[in-house]
Amino acid sequence: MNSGPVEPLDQLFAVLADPTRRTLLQQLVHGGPTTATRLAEHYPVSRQAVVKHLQALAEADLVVAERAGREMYYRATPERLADAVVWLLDTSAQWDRRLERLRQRALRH
Amino acid sequence: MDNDATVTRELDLPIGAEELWHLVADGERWADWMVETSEVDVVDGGRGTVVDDDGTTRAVRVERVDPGREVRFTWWPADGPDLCSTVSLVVVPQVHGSRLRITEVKASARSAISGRRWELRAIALSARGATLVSV
Repeated sequence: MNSGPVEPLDQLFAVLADPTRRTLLQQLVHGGPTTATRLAEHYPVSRQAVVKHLQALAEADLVVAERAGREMYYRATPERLADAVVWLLDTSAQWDRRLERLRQRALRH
Repeated sequence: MDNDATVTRELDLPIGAEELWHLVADGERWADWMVETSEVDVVDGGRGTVVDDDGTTRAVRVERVDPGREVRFTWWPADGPDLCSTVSLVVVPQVHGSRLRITEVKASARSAISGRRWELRAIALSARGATLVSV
């Protein structure tokens, strides 16, 4: 298992349940830091709605807001997503090992 | 909150459902396949400790035993209680042999097994990382 400090994952998954937030996060990961206004130009939602989604992502530590002059830039910080993926990969690998042992044991029967 | 990470597996086995049930419902026999060592009382509300094959010690609390069908328990690493998850082991009789259905949910206290789930789709693992999708 991941031996480092672990944040609760529930908030992370709840925030990412929204497809618009996933899309916004993906855009920030692939396209780099940008403003809510520019993000809103690409999606059929208002700037205010984009800001709200970005704030939810920020509360889950998936993005950070950084001021540059008069504008606020949002940058993806996907480390927490990596924590979630680590849990899924670790858990999947553990069950694969356990089931292989069970299969071997059943075959010896 | 009802969005959780979920891992599922199914395995068909050439042993009868009754024998598979003993491997699932006898805490000592968990050490035959699921963990390295096991001291768990598999009854409703039962508690215990297991040690995984990677050395992780987990505390276990049995949530529910449906005789002959399902054992459901919650476990968490001794050094990482935030990684609490709920495991359902379901025994399904087959015409020839039996099937074990496993669901492990990284659960909030409220949602357990039910509700919307998250699942890892491995479609993007080779490129920019994994994709989480709701199912």
